[in-house]
Amino acid sequence: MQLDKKTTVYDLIALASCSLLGVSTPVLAADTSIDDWKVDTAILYYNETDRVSAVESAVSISKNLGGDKILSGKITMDSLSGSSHNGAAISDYEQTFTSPSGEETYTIAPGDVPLDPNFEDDRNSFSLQMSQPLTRVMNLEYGAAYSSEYDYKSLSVNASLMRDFNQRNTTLSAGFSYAQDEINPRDGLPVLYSLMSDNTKSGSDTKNTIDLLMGVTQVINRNTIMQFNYGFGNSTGYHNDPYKIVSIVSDATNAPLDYLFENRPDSRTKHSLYWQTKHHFDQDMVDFSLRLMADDWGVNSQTLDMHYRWNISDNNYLEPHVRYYTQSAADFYEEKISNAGLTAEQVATQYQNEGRDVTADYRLGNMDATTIGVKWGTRLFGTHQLTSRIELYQQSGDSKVSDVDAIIFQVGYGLKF
Amino acid sequence: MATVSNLNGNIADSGFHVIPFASGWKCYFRAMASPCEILIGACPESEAQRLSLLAWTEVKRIEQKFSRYRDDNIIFEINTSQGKVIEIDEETHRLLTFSDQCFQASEGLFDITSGVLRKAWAFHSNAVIPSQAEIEELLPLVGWQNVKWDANSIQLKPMMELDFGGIGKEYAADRALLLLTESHRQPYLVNLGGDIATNGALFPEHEWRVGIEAISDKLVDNVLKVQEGAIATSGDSRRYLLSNGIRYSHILNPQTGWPIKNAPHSMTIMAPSCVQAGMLSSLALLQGQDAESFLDEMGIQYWSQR
Repeated sequence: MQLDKKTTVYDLIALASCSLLGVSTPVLAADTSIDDWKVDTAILYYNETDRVSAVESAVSISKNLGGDKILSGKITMDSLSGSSHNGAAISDYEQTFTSPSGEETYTIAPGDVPLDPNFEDDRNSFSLQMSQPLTRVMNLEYGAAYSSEYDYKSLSVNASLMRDFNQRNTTLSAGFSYAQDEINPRDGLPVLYSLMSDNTKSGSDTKNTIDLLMGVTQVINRNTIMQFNYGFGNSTGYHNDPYKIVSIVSDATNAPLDYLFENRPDSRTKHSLYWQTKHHFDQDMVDFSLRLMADDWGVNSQTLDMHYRWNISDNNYLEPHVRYYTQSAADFYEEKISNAGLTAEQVATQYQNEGRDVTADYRLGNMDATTIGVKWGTRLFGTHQLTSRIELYQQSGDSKVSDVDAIIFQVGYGLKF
Repeated sequence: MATVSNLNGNIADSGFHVIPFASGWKCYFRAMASPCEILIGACPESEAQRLSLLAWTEVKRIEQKFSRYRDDNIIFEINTSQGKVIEIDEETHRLLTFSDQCFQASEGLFDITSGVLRKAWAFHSNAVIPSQAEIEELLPLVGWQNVKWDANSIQLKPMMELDFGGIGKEYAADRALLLLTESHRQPYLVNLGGDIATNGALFPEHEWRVGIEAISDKLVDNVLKVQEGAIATSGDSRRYLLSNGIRYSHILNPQTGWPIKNAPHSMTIMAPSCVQAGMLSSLALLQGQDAESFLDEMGIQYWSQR
């Protein structure tokens, strides 16, 4: 009886407290509750003027397994179609090309960029990632990814370790990833130093890539955080784009004689440095980053990237974005090969004898690119996030071949529960 | 403009300031005769200032509205009403309802009309023990059951007085936390002179550490760890009367007019809300010798110092 009476006192006081405060539960919890599930979906539309357009849809799901263990998975589906530069130079003459299958031909008018109109590709990729604390100040992340196109498959694994120091003001991280790719076009890879007119293709090949990353993240002050990374990457194996050719042009007439399939080195070593600074103002945030990359192909690139997050209200933000990218050409980049009085076959033999690398892929040429855009984000129903982003991309380089204008539009929706 | 300068003046008087603290901010001020602090999770400084001001304004509002030491509020109006009917607002009614429920639950031991007994009892160093006659003269003025009240009005018998002193600080802590959380959902800790309300930890592994001051050299300080909820302490460690070697607690039994005997000097309780923790610790002290067993039987965790 005594116990019942005391329990009643407790309940009476609890009830009276709630009605005094006008709440049903006395503690109005802060928003630190761990949301078990997070789902993000996004659809991206990319369209280059007169060239490739792509639609990419992605779904990522993460689940908190408790104890700060987070398992996440992502599925991405890309669909590309349109016209893609085949590598040949612009000519004053009409040019006729054989499609990669060797069954069809297409003709490019004088002065036009040689674009293969039959470019089409679908890519599906899947990844799984696990993040788990090892100790109070150490976190381990690891995962695997697989992607598949009809002529290209890639499998990769990765792991990274992060350790906090200095009352969590400093974080050191070290990571690696290893990828194995297989290139297997339907009709085989072009025989090395063969000409387009030969149409000799056979077999498939592989490429192995290892990337190492070391980084330090440092809290500078209450409003500023900086990150420095050094990355090392090495890949060996088949680096060519099996669909890219290089024009062999007559010195005398400037007419295209034939087209040599491109040949890149069979290894590549990259070094990169990355510096990022995030600074919070009272309401807004600026995110500035600089990336420097150099490789043993002679490609040096610099990327400047800036986001400004303007929090219009508690539930809305606008984020303007500017990015500038510039790179120098690979040592073996040639817009076209001059025949020096030789026949196309003789040129091919000469390249083969010298073991000389050559590409006319504008992505390995001198290039500048600017992206400007804006993203708008709004919060719905408390925990849902709707974002949309529009960006304009403008690229230029050694010739009209490199001139690409593109528009990017993305809509994303994320929710937690 | 008068309001603004008045407000600013009060802020300056109360020592209001916001400083960086851990990964967030700490706002300090004095109110309700106590040092107060508001701990705020990581956010921009302007936001911390805004939130601090929100909390300060609410605490000051409650102090000004319900303090019995002022002559410009509803409590003064009621206590000087001389038997007249006084109109009350919704918030006053809610506090009266709460007091009534606690009066019922404690079978009359918690009584907001008992403050009038302080006319006989003074708790300072050279105070003297009142005579039984003095106490008996005041006892007819104590008795919540004699108060007529409803949703819109209250009527006290002449000379009777109300005192929300036993719940005001706890109520202000809960209210400030409620307003802060509604304004910006993030972790806070509101500490009004030891009455503490918090709505959650700063990050999953985090626990707020709340020190309990030892009241004598014989005891040691204790540290409570709390992720969310409230802590309140009641006691007589600073207010008591020593006479002929007998320590008279300032906690008075409203039925006898005499101090509760053998009550712990300090009782700290954790509960979901500060008003709940405060009321449970007050009711425990009113049990005197049986304070701990009163709480034990309810399965409540407490830190008692005798």
